[in-house]
Amino acid sequence: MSRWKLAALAAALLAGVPLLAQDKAPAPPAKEGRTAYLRRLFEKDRATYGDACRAILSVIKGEHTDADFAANVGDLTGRGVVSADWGLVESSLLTKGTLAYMVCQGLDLKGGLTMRLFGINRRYALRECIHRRLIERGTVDEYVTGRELLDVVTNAAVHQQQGHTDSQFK
Amino acid sequence: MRTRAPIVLVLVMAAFADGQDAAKREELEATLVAFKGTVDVKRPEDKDWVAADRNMKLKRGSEICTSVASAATLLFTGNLKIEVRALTQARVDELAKQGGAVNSDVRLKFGSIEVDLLKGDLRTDMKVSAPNSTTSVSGSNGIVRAPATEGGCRITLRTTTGTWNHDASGVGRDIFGSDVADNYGNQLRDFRALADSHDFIDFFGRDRFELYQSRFTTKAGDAAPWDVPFFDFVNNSPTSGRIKRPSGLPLPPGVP
Repeated sequence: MSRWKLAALAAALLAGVPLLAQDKAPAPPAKEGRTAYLRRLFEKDRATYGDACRAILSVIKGEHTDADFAANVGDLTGRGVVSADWGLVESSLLTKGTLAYMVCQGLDLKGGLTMRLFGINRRYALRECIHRRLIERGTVDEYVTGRELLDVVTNAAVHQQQGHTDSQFK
Repeated sequence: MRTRAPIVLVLVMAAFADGQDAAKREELEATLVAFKGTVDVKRPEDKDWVAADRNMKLKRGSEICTSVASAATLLFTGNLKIEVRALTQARVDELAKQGGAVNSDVRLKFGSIEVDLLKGDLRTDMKVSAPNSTTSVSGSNGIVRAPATEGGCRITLRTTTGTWNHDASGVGRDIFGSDVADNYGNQLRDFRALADSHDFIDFFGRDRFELYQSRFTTKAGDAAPWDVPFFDFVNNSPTSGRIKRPSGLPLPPGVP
């Protein structure tokens, strides 16, 4: 390889270092009020724990909320919907198991025999949500897309009002 | 030169006809007559989304977005009312009057809308573009839901207003509401066998099973047995004592 090619390669690598450093530390998302977060959620490839906390709390309270992440988590923890020892932050990627746990606790779903005997965990919660058609099939550690979260929140709101998720009422 | 003259004449006549059609077309505006909760609107002249206000006019190209526990009611024409339900984003793609018919297209990005036909419609056709969307219609009221994961759907509504006279019997009467019919007196329920599950006039039944095989023993609002918890199902099943009805006349007195 000629010297010129080596020099060009080194320059390209050096130029790429700051770009990679920027990718590792993304800027925190700006605060979005009213319905803007729903439209952003529709475009997102991966929903976050912060998105789920805001949406589930809105469903539980029956009103739109613009509170920040700390207030939402504090409220949800007080209601027993999320566990304080999860150690999740706002930008943590949301999994189907975590979302199912929040939905079951938020809607006060007692589940079947196993969940009643051994208590709720993410796996049982996901099976219960799939059974009730609140969440599409998947695994506990599968990431949730923004559109999936929108559908789950819609199903949860319908379930809260009607007691089931019959397609007629969605 | 002689061969070109007819062609030029046809072209001129076609252009004139187009001009006449364009003159007949009249753009309409939907009115946001009521809303609750958090509702945002973006009209073509708006740079960003703004909070909805009552009696706001939404012309073609306007978008509306509702949050949790929110809803908005749009009056398209005097007879066509659309309720945008919670967690929905929709866009008015078309709303115009042409001749005696009103054509309206609603692009549902996600969520659900409820179409409500009021008095005075001679005939209304509803078409839902995406086969994966859910449509359920009871009488003159229809609910269309498009899951976000399916990418939404487009709803086409064609409404014709007028009256229908039954020439054969000589009895004229207005057709409106749940008696919506076509020019021949065929009511919408007569068309269910002609329409596919996601074709025009998807008005009765949720799916092909209900359209073709069931006898509509349940009302539109009834839940399917598998949608309710097991014990509720047992308690509400037809054989449970609480709701069991006598299947026929009792035995005559004197029978042992």
